[in-house]
Amino acid sequence: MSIEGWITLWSALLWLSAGAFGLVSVYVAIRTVGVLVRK
Amino acid sequence: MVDSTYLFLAIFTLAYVIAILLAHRGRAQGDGGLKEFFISGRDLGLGTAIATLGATEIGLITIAYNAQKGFNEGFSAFHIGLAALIGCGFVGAIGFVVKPMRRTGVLTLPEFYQQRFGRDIRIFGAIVMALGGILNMGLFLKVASVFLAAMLSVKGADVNVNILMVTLIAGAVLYTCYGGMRSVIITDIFQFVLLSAGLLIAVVYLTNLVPLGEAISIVRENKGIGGFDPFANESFGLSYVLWMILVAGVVSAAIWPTALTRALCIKDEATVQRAYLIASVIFLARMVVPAFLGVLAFSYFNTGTLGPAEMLASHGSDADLVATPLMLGHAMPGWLLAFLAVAMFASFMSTQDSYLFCWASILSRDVLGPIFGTVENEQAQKRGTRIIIVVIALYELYWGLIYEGREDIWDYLAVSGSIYFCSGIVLMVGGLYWKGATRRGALWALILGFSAIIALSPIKIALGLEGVSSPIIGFAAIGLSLLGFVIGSLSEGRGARKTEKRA
Repeated sequence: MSIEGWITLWSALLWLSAGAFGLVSVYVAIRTVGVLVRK
Repeated sequence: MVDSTYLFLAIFTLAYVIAILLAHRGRAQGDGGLKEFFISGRDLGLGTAIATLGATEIGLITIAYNAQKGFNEGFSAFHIGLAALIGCGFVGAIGFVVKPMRRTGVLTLPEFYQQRFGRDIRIFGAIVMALGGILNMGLFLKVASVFLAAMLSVKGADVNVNILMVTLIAGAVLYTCYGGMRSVIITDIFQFVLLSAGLLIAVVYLTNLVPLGEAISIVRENKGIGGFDPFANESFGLSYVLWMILVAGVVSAAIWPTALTRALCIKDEATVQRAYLIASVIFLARMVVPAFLGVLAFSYFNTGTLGPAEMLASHGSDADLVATPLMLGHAMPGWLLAFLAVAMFASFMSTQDSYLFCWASILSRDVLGPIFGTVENEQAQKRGTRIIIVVIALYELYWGLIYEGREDIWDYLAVSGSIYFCSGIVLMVGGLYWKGATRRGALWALILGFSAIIALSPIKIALGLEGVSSPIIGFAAIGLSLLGFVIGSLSEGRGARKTEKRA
């Protein structure tokens, strides 16, 4: 794969990672708050 | 400057402690029996399961070693994250190991060894498991202390690494002994959210200083194709990439006890599989985001305008390890650095508590328990686990001071962990999926898998094997272990069949 190909792949993975941290954190926080509120 | 950093550090630390205490209020149950103490009552839902899987496997050590890899190898270090995504995604997609292991109903993993291979394999397997795991966590404390001290030193705070080590480990021991697995999991949720926020804020703030395009140009200029292509990078190559798919992916998710134990705590098999599938993107992120911080640190100190080169040079051979915390300390305002320091501390605690509890509970329940006949004695089990937690913590202090290996931290972790997982993967997979597996095969697999210890750099040097890469030694150890497992099982199975015929 060319260097540009690698750059595209790693850039995509970087944004996927940042998005994953953000989304999963929000999901976990909302579910946890939901459980606490129900109790 | 140091005054405002200290002030914010005090405020954020206080807020953190209050939040942890609130999270615990009325929930840490110390009298709920062995099931409550060891596997948190086996009642985890999806959200909690993902958070505890993520928080356990993202420690300050994870941030430090990935940042070091990113600093040294550039973007090509991201392949470790991709390997983790592939490996963990595979585990989640088919429930590999985690689903049938949850079905067994055991409280600890060596208990499965007893179910499948007998009591002596449980004890021997538990010793190998704990030995690999405890060696593996030997550098956690030292690396965390060096990282935090370097970060705060830039703001003028003169933090003694040894005193910080004692403080950190004392906090972790008190907290882990307090409420067992329930205590560990409750705080994992809070810590996961906090450390994710800390990492994302750091990335956003720093990419304003060093944009992605500029970081790419600097890495390209200084590291060439090896800074992007892991197959062209001299430190990696094909065998390393394959080794990572196994270690950072399949083993980290499905074989490594701190992660696999979480499967035992989840309420049902379907939730186990879904939790692992979703967590696969966290396994990607835990490698890629810190490695990107390392890439940014490399760029930061190579722009010629942002990071003073002499700051890095003064740390000699530790420069690659402290480059990221030095950048964080140098680039960020005091309040943000203080928030990040507390988030880093949270990430240290979330891993440290899980690891301390995991190895101590295995030694107490699966080594001392069967030997002294106290497997079902609740008081003896809790007391034994707590005493062993303290002993492991003291060892960690000692190991942090004496170990002088030459490998990167991640490579040390992979090698020390392989002492367990080279035979662990054979016993778990073979025991769950092959009906013909027997006690003799398991014994031979455990003995032969131990050969992975050769890859530890002091032993490698002593044996004159410096030219052989750690992945090659690791694959060879797994091959030997598998061979022993198959031949041992077949020979015992044949012997047993002959005896049956004669009878």
